Amino acid sequence: MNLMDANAYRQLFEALPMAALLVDDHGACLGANPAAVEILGPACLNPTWNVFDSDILRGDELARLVDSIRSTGSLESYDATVHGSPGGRLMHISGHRVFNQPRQQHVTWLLLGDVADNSAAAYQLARLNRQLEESNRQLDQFASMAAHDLKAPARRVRMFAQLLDNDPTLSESSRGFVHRIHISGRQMEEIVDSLLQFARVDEGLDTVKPSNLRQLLQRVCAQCAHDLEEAGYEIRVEGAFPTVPVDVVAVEQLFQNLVSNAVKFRRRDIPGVLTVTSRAEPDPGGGHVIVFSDNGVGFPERDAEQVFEMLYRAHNKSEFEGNGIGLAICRRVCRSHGWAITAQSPGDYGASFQIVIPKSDLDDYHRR
Amino acid sequence: MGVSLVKVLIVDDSPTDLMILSALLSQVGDYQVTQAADGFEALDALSEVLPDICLVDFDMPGMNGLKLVGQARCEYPDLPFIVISGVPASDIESAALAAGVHTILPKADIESGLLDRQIKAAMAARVQ
Repeated sequence: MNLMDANAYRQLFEALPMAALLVDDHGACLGANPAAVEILGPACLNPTWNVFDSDILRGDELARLVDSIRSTGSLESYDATVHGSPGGRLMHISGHRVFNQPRQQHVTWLLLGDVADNSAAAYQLARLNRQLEESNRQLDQFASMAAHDLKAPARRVRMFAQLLDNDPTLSESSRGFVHRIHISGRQMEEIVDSLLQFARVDEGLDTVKPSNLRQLLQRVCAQCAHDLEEAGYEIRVEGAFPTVPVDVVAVEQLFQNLVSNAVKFRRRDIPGVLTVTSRAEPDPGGGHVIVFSDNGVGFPERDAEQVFEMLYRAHNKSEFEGNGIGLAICRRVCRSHGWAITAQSPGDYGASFQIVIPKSDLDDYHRR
Repeated sequence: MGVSLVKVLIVDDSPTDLMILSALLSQVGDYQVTQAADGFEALDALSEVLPDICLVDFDMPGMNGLKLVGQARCEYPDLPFIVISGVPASDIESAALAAGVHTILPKADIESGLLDRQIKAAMAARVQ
C-alpha cells in the first residue's frame, strides 16, 4: 500500500537535491523543480521553454537521450557537461518514461544529478590519465617502430661506406668523404639505439626482481672496464647499497649511462674519478640515496633540470661526443621505478646525480 | 692449379643486405657466393649448389632463419650455419645453439675480416 499522497510527492519533487524535469516527446517542459531552476536558470519555468531547443547539452544530444528513453523505457546513467547557470558542469543524467494519467500521454522524467566536485575532478583526472596513457603508449610504439626501421638503413649506410673504403682506387679526398659517411652512419646507429632504449624502458617492468644495487653497479663497471682503463678513469664505490625490486636491464642501463656520462665528460687535465656513494636517509622520511659524483667538466648550474631533457647538450659536439639521450633515459628509468633523480653542478667543474629511492621500496627487503 | 673457392649460400630477405654480405665476401676473395631471398628458395638452392657453409638471416618472413636451419640440417647434417641477426644475439642464442648454429653474428658488427674468420672457424669445427 502506498501511503504517500499527491502532496507528499509534490514535497519530494520540490525537495530533491537533483534537477528533475518532466518533458513530453516534443521537448516541452511540463515541470521543473527548484534544483532544476538553480542549475538551468529560471527560463525553465517559462511555459514555452523547450528542452530540445535549449542549449543544456551540446547540439541535439538531449533530444537523442529522450528518444532513446522513449524506445528503451529508461536511461541508467549518462555523464555529460550540462550548460546552465552558471556555466557548464559535469552531471549524471538519468531518465524514466512513465504514463501520465491526467494528460493521458507518455512523458519522460529527466534527473540531472550534480556530480560532487571531488568526484568530478576524479572523473576528469581518470579520463585524462587514460588519454595520457594511451597517448604515451602510442608514442612509445611509434618511437620503437621508427627507431627499429631506421636501424637497418643507418647500418647499411655505414657498411656501404666500409665497402667503398676498401676500394684501392679511391682518391684520398674521396676516402675522406667516405670516412665521414662511415662516422655519420655510426652516429645515426647510436642515436637509433638510444631512442630504442628510451622507448623500451617500461617494457621490463612486468619482470622486476629484488636485486642488490651494488651488484648491478659492479656488473656495469665490469662491462665498462675496457673503456675505463683506456680513459684512465677510476670509480670508487662507497656505502651500503639497498636491495630493491627492479627491472634489472633498465637499472643497469641507468647505471651504465651515468658511468659513461662521467667518463665522456671528464676533464683531460686531471685523472677522472667517479665516486658512487649510497646512504640510508634518516627517519621519518627514510628511503635511500645514491649519488654519482664526478670531477668532470660539469654543466651550467641553471640547466640542472634541463640536463634530463631529450637531446639536451651542455657542450659543443666537437668537444664531447654524445647524443643527448642518455640522461633522458636515466630519468625515465627512475620514474618508472618511482625513484627521483636530480642533478647538480655547483662549482667550476664536477657534476653529481642523486637518485632517491623511497622508503616504501625498501621496507620488504634487507639492506646489504 | 687455382685455389678452390669456398661455396657460400647467403640467405636474406633484404636484397640490400644480400648485396652487402656478398660484396664483403668478394673483397676477401676466396668465396663463391650464391644468394637466396628466403628459406624456401634456400632449401631449393642447397640441393643445387651443395654449399660449404650457409649464412642465414634470422628475421625472415615465412620461414625464419632458425626454422630453415632446422629443416636443412635434417638433410645436410654436416653443413655449418652462421646466423646473421638484426635482433640482439642474446634473444636467440639458446634457440640458435640448440638448432646447431655455429655462431650468431650481429648485423651491426659485420665486416669482411670478421666474416672471413667466422666462416673459417665454422668450417674447421665441422672438420673436427
